[in-house]
Amino acid sequence: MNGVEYINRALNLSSLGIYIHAITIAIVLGFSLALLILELIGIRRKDALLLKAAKTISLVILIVFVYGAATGTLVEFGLLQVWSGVLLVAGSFAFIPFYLELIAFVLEAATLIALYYTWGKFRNPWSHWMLTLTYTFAAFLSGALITSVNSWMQAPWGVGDVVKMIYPWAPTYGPLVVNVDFLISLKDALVSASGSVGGGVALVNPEILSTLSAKFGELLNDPWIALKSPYSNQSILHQLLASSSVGVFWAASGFALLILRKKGESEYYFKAVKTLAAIGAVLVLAQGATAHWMGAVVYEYQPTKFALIAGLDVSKPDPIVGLTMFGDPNYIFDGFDKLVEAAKNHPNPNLIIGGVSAAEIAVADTVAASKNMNLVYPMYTTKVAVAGLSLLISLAILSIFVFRRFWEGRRSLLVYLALTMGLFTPLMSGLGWAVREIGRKPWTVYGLVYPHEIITPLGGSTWVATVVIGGLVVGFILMCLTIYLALTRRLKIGGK
Amino acid sequence: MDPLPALLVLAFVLLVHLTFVNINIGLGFLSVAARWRSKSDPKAEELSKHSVKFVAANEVVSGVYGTLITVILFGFWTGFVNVVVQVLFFALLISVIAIIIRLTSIAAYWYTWGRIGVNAHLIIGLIMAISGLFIPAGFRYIFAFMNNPAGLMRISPLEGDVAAALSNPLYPPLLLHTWVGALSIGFLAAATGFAWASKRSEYLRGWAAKTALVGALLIIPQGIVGFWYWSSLSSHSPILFNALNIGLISGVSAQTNVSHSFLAMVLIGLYLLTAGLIYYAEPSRIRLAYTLAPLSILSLYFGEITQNWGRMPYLILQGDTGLDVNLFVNKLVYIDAATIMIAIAPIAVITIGFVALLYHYLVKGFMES
Repeated sequence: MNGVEYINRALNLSSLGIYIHAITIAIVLGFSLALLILELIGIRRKDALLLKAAKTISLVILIVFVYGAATGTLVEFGLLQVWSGVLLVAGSFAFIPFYLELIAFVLEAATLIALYYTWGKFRNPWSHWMLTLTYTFAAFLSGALITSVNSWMQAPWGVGDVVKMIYPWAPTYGPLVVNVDFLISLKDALVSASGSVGGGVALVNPEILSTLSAKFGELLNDPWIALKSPYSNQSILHQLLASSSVGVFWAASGFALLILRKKGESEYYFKAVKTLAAIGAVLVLAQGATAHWMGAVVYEYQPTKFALIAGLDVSKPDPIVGLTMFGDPNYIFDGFDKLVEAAKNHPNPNLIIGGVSAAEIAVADTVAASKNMNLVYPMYTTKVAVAGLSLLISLAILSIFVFRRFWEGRRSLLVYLALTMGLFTPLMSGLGWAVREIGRKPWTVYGLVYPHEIITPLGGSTWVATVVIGGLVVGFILMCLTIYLALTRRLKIGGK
Repeated sequence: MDPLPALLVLAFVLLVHLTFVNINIGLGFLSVAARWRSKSDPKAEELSKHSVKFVAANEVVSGVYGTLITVILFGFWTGFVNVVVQVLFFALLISVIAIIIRLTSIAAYWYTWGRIGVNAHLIIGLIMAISGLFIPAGFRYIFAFMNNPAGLMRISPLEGDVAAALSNPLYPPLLLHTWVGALSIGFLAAATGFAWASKRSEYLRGWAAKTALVGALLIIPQGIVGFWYWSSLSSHSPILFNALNIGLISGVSAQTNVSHSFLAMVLIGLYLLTAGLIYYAEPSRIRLAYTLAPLSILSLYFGEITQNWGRMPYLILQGDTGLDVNLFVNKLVYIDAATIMIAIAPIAVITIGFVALLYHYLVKGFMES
């Protein structure tokens, strides 16, 4: 296996692992929100059916959480083994988000167990709802902190003009809170050592890091910087809304399927579908509104990704985007022609990194990024088309509260709409995540670090990834089986 | 970053994790033993079922703390993790595979109950129990490596011999010491639990006495394996050997003295052996049984403190010298000690509440049945 094959295989396996883990995240976030709202409405209206639906949802969350926590450890472990160079990020920019995530994770676990086993045990039902609220807060906080780490890798906030020194088309990434000499020395060494796959990661060793820190001081002066990025803020909003809408519509689809299977308690199931579909529809509409802000930060902080998603092989106007962003349908957006030209006319032609001129690096990487156009552009346009349809369906779902007479006797239509959204929302999110990740290439940390610099050099990485993915697949199948058994065979977790 | 708070945070999460892992390894085997016993004694089936519920609950806590350890290791001990990942790559693979098998087999053991034949169910149970032993089989390589870095050819540029790392001479005695210790702790913890529950069920008194006996008798092989490990340290890890023998062997000196915790561990072991045997002979002495679980866990803590604090000021020992702990602590970013410790406080508080609730529910269910 050559180096390129080795990296591609590791990247593909890692993507698969992340997608499988993402399913559990969508369920945990979406179901949590659904639980919170269903319980709230159920208590206010003293509606036993909604409270029953909320309790069922909490059981599913518990099962998913246990499997998610276990497989999450495998993902972390696998990530460290296969991509050991990621330690550089983990030990610096990601340190505070990960450390805070520990608190959120433990709080999430504790309150979830508590809320599940205390249904009906409190005299005042609002006490139980407070537990649910705390749990939901912890789940969303956990999701937000993890997203902030991924966002830093998309837009390395806090490095100021360092990326711009190499890539002239790059923006300024916030205030300079990084030790430039340390970072440049590190990058210089990574480029020098990256002739072979994983060569760069050999530098992430204690003696070299100690030598660099003894010479330059700490790499990072503001450990909170990853949480201050505008790119991160928009990503958190966008990702949490996306994951929640997927989970909520999956919950609605679950109840919808039970209606179609003509199980008993149809009034209970329909009430659950109606409420959940309405929550999901509001989330999809909210996501649509925030998509503009997400697009704006991509335009500002990831010029190559914006060119990919807008299909800008050459600079040209995009009437809709131009109008929404600048109020000018004729605004000409920079395409890869301009980006490559900027790289060729490098303002720092004498800058040498690892024995290679910055201009050469900039041109090669910009061209490499443009090669993903055939993959990213169709995915993005498909995503936008699905999003458009989803917005229309969401409006139709919400019309149930306005055009009550029309919907009378058309219950089955709502069931099918909920099921359709149970397919559309994950398709939309899946494509969105693929665009986010592939659009970042050829870098792992945008403009700073490549995948081949951080992969573990030993040939066993792919084996480890295979084992981890295998574990995730087995875990996922078991999780689905457990949910099925728990819901259909009335098996209770932890009880008689 | 100051290494002391980073060490304390790691020590806290590691000890919580090890507590539940050790109890769980023993409980897994106990559940299988009770399931086997249920072929002739139907009442034992319920006991076996409840044991596996505790296994599942403990697995949640140890799983959550396993995640915490991973994050703390790569956040605080960045350089160390990189060395371990590179050199002990295949050793860690053993743990990864074992985790997958363990989780799968716990679920399979639970959900196939009553749906397949007893013998087939026992085979699944055995896979579940044995896979629990293989999780530390991978991770204990790290501890053996820290005491004697077999396979580490050089640190800059980092180079390791994976095969040599797998043949670390300290590994076999350390692993056996871990396995026997975990089984002993699991059975002694179960003895305390059964003794407490026997207030409502006379049937459980017999189980309390038998598990106390097994847990206590396991102290004997634990002592033999412990002696093997102790003597291996004298030749492969002299600094640690000296640290735990200061005052016990004349002429021995070391920068760190952990002889008190070592001695405490040995004395608690002797107490557990005696108390377990006495309780087996006189099951009415219920207060004796109550001491078994906390003291067995305390002996685990003393053992871990002896081994891990005894290396100080080094993190990896290399014969008569070592690689300083300062070399491995994260220097990419500065976090003050107060911030580090403040973040751990809510984790500790939440964990106590979490574990209390979990055990309250499980014990209540156990008592009611």
